[in-house]
Amino acid sequence: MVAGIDSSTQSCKVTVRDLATGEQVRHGKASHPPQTIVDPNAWWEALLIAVQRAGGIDDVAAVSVSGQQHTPIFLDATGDVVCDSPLWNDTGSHTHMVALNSELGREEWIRRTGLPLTLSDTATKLRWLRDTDPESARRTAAVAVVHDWLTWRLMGYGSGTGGIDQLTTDRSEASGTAYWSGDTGEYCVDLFVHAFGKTAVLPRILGPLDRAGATARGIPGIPAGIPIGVGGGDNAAAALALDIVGGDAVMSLGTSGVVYTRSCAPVHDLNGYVCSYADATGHHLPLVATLNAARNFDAGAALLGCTYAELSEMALQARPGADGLTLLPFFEGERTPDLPHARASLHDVSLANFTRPNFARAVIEGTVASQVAMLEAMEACGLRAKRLMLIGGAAASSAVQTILAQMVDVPVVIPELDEYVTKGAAMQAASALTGSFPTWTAAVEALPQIPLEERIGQQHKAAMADLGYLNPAPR
Amino acid sequence: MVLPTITVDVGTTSVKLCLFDSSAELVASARHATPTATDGTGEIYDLPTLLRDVKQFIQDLRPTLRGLVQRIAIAGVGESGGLVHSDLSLASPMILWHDQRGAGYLARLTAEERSLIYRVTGLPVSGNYGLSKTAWAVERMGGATGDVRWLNIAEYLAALMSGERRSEPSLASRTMALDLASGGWSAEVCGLVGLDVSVFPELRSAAEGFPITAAFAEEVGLDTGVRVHVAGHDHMVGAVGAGLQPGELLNSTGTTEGLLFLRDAPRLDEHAEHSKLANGLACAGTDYTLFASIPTGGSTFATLQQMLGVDADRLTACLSDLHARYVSDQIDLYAVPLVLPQFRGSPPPTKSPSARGLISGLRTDTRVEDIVFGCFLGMALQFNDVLELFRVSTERVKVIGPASGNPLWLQLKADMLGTPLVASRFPEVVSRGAQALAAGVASAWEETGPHDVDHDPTRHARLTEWRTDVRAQWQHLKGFPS
Repeated sequence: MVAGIDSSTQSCKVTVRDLATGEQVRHGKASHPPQTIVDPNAWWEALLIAVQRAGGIDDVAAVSVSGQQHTPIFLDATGDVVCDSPLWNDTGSHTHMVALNSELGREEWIRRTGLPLTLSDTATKLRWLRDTDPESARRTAAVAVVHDWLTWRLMGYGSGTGGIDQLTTDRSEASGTAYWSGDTGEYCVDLFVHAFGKTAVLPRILGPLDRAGATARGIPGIPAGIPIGVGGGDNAAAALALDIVGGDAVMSLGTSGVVYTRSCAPVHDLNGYVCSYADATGHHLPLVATLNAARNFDAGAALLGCTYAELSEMALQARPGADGLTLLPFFEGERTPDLPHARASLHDVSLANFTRPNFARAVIEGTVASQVAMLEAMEACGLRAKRLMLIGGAAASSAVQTILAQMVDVPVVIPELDEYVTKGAAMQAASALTGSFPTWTAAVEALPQIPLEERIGQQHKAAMADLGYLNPAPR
Repeated sequence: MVLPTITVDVGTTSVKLCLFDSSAELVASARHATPTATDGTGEIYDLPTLLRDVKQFIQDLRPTLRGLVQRIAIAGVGESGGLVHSDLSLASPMILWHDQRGAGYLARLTAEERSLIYRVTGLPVSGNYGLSKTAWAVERMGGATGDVRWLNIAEYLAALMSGERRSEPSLASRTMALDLASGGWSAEVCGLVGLDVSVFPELRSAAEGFPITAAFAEEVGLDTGVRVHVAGHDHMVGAVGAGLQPGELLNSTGTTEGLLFLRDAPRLDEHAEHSKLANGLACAGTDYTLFASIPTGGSTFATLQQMLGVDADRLTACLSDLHARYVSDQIDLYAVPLVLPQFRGSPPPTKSPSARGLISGLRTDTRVEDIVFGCFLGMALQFNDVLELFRVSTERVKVIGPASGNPLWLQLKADMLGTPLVASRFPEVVSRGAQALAAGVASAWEETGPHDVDHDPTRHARLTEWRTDVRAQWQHLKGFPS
C-alpha cells in the first residue's frame, strides 16, 4: 500500500492505495482554515487529522505529498515558522506584483522564468512580506512552499530543530516560484534577491524519481522510516495520475479553473496567459488558470434560488447562446486575463431573453467560454490540443459537458471519478519504493460529438471586447 | 362638464377599458393583455381578440349603465398602425409601434434629409414612427394606394365604431409625416420615402367626435346618440388627465416611460435634434409637446418577476423592504450592481431599438434584491440622463402610471433629481384624460389623488457623489455598440 497526500487550498486529503493497481482503499480529509493568510501549522495539523481519518497509514510502505503551488512558508534558522503565510489566492499582493513587473519589465519575468508574474507567485509574496512586515523578512532564513515544508516535517524537522538545509522540493514546485528557470532547471537567485531584498536557503530540487527522505519517529499516526516521495504541485500530481501525453489537454473545473497540457520544452508566452510550469516527469506543464470556475455556478444558483443540479437542468432548457444573454463570470476579479478588480457582468439583456433558463445557460456558457479561451491561449503558443480531458467537481454537470462539446472541435473525455492529485502523489510514493512510476490505469468516457455552436464563443468575445478585456494593458 | 364615457386605452402590454360617469368617477373597468401576433415579418395586433375584448366590456356593463354612455374615447400608443380601405377592411397588418419592418426605407436617407425631417416634423428619424411602416405597407400593395389610409390603432378602432377614417393631431404628429408648422401632412417628407401624402387621412381633433354607427351601437347595446372620439397618443392624453401646465414635467410610467413638457412652439434647435427629442402636437389647444421615451419603464417589474421566478406580491414586498432599507441609509450604493436598463432599446440621445441592457458589478455575494435595487437605481439614473437632455428647469414633476405605486422607484427619482415629485394614486389618468378630451374640458390634477414624494438632501448628496464616481463606467456601458 502507498499513501498520497494533497494539501490543497481548502483541505488536506489522504488516499491509501493498492500498490499494484492504484485502487483507492480508504481516504481521509480535514478542512483548512478559510482565510487567505494562514498559520502553516494548521496545514500540518490538518495533515495529521486527515491521516487519522483515513484509518492511519501504518500499513503503507511509502508516502508522498502534493500541495497548493506558490504559497510560501517563511522559516527562521532554527526551523520556526516566522509568520503566517499568504496563500496563492490572497489578493493583498497585487500592488507588489505591479511593482515587480514595473521594475524588471513584464516580459523579463516571462523570458527568465516562463511565468507572466501574477499576484499568486512566490516571488510576489516575498515582496509582499518585505514591504508589509520587514521584521519577519529580516528573520527569514529559508523559504519553502507548502509541500516542501510538509515533506520536511514528515522527515522530523520543525520548530527549533534546525535543518533548513534539508528542505527539498521538485521541479513542479520550483517552477511556480517565479525564481526558477525551465530552460536551465535551476533557481534564478538574482530574481529571489530582487524580490526579497536578501538571500535565503531554498529547498534542494529533486528529480522526478528521487526520494525526499524517510519519515521520522515520534510523529502521531505516521509510521517511522518509510520512504517519502519527491512530491510536487497539485496540477503536476494530477497530470501524472491522468497519464497525459503530448496532445492531451486537461481542463479542471474546480472552484477555480485550470487548463494544462504537456510539452517537451518550456514556453514563454509574451501575451501573458500561459504559465510555463514543470511537470512531475521531467517535462513541462504549460498551464493557464482562472480564479473563477465552479464558484460561478454557486453564484448563479444562489441568484436563481436553485440547486446546482437545477441550474444545469435549466441551462439545458435554453438555446445555445441563451438568446444573446452573455455572462462574463468574473465575480471575484480574474487572474487570466489579469483583471483583479473586475466583477461579473451580464450583457445584451432584453425583455425577451432575461429568463431563468437563459440566465442559467449564460452562467455556464460564460464559465466554459472562459476556460475555452485558455485553450486558445495555449494554441497561440503552438500547443494545440488533440484531446481534452474534463475533470473537477463541475465536470459531472450535464450542461457543462454539453456546452463544452458545443465549443471545442476536439474529442472530450471524462476520466472516471477519482482524487487525481492524491493519486499522483501516491504514484510518486510508489516510485520512491520501486524506482519507477506505476502503470495504474484510469478509465475515461468519451462525450458524444455534437455540432459546434460558434455563437457562444462569439458572444463571449464580443462582451470581452465591449469591456476592453481582450487586450488589458500590460502591468 | 364631462359626460359618461367609455374609454379605451390601447397600451403596449395591456388594454385598459373604463366607464366614467358624469362626475368623472370610475364606475367600471377591465384590463386585458394587449393581444398581439406575429406575421412572419414582425409583431402585429391580434385584431379579432382586441375587438372582442372591447365589445365584451361594453356588452357586460349593466344595461342601466350602458344606457347612460354618451361618449367613447380612445387613446393608444403612438406609432402603431396600418393601411385601411374605405370599407374599413385592412390593406396591411396593424403593426405594433416597436416593429422595425420599415426601417430599411429610412436607412437610405442622407444626413441632410434626416435633418430636414426633424425640422419639418420635429421627430428624429426612427423606424418606430408610422412613415416607414406606411412605406413598407404601400410597397407591399404594389405602390397603388387607391383609397387606403394610414390609421393608428386607436384611430382604426374609432373607425370601426364610427365608420370614419380620421387622424387625431397628437397621433398624426407621431407618424413623422406631419408638418408641425402648418399642421398638415408634409408632401416633402412623404416624398422622401416615395409616398403620396394622400395616404394619410384628414385630421380631426379629439374634441370632434363622430356618431357611432347604428350597427356597432346595436351590436354592443349602446344608444345611437353616442359619439366616438379619438383622444390621442397615450402619453399626451395622460398630460391632459394630469392637467399638465407649462413648466411642469409629466413622467408617464407605463410599459415604457415618457417624459413630456408642454411648449408654445416646437423646439427644433441643433441640440434638440442631436438629442433626438420628439416634438409633437398636444391633444388639446394650441400647445406643442416635447417628449422623450425611455423604452424600458414599468416593464422592468414583469421582467424581474420572470427572471427571479417570483410572483408580483413577493416582488412588491421586496421593493417595499428595499425602500425601507434605502430611506434608512442601510444600502451601500457601491455594493449594488450597476444596471444599464436598456432591456428593450435605448432612450435618447441614441434611441437605438437594438440596444440591450447590461448588469455589471456582480459579485459572489450579490443577492437577488441587490439586482432589483440596481435595476431601479439604473432606471432613475437613466431618467435623470434623459431629463438633462431637455435643458429646462422643472417646476414640478407629475408622475402617473404604475410607478406611482412603486415607492422605491419614486424615492430614487426624487433623490436623484433633488426635487420633490407628486404622484397620482389614480391608476387610469390616461383614461381620465380621454374622457375630458371627449367632452372638450380640462381635467383637474387634484382629482387624481396626488401625493408628494419629498427628496432628502442627504440622500441626494450621496447619490450625486455615487453618480460622479460611476459616471465613467456608466458612460462606457452606454457607449457599447448595439
